[in-house]
Amino acid sequence: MKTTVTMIAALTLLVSVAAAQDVTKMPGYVGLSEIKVPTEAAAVQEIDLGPDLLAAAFKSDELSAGDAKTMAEALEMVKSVRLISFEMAGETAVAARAQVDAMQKKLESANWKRVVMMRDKEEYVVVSVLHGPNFIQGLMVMAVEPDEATFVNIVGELNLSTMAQLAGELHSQEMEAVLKNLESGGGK
Amino acid sequence: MTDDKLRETLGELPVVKCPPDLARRLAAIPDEPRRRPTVRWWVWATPLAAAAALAAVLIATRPAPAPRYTDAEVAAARIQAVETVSTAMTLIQRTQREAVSEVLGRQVPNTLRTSVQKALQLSEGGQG
Repeated sequence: MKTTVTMIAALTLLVSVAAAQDVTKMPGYVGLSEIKVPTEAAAVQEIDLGPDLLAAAFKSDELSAGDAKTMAEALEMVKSVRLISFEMAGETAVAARAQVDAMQKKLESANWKRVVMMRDKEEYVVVSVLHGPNFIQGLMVMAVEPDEATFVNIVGELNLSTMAQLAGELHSQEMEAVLKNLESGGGK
Repeated sequence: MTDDKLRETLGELPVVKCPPDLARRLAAIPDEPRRRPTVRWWVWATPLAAAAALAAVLIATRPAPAPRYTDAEVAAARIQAVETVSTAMTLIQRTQREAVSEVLGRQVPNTLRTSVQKALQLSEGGQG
C-alpha cells in the first residue's frame, strides 16, 4: 500500500510540474489572442517570446558586463514577453478603447490591480499588475493613442522598479548602442 | 507400448498393502496447517497498475525537448524583449509623469483658484 501511495504522489507531482512549465497556465499570463486587430490596420507588430527563447537570449554567463548584462539580470525571471501593436485611423481608436475596457474588466475579475490609468482625448493608458506572494507575477500595459494601440503582457517574477530604472536609463542614454551590444551577443 | 496397454497391465497387478512400518511413520507426521497464498494478487497488481499509469502520464506530459534556436533567432529575441519591456516601462513612466503634471499643473491650481475665489466672495460679502 505504501508503494502505491508513493507512486500516486509522484504521479501528482509530475503532472503539476508538467503543468507549471506551461506558460499559458502561469497566473500572470493574459490571452492576447482576444485582442481584435482591425483588418484595415496599416502596420501590425506581434512579439511572442516564451521561456525557452528568453532563457537562451539572456544567459547571464554569455553576456559581458554593462547594460546588456544588467538587463539580462533584470529579465532573468521573466518567462514570457508578448506584445501586440497596430497602427490605426482615428475611427478605430474608439473600438480599441472599448477593447481596453473589456480586457481591464476581465483582469480585475481575476484579482489584477490597476496601478496607472490616464484617459484624455488623445490617449488612454491602463497599467495593471497581478501581485504574487513575493513578486509581481504579471504586468499588463494597454495604451491607445490616436494612431496606434499597444498591448503588452509580461509574465514571471517581475521587479518593476529595476525594470523601470533600466528602461529609463536606456532611453536617456544610448539605447541604440545597447541594442547593438545585445545584437552582437552582449559585446563578447 | 501404448498408454492403454500400460494402464491395462498395471490394473492387472495385485494390490499391495503399505508396509506397517512405513504406514506408522507416515501417520506420525503431523498435518501441516493449510497455508494461505503467500502473495495476494493485488500486492503485485496494484503497483504494476500504478507504474503503468505513471508511465502513461510521463509519456503524455513529458516536456518537449528544448528547441534549438539559431544565433540570429536568439539575437532577435534579445532585441525584441528589451524593446517590449522598454516600451511598457516608458508608457508607464510617461503616464505617471503626465498624471502628476495634470494634477499639480491643472487640477490643484484650479481647485485653489476656486477656493480663493470663494474665500474672496465670502470676504467681499462680509464687508458689504
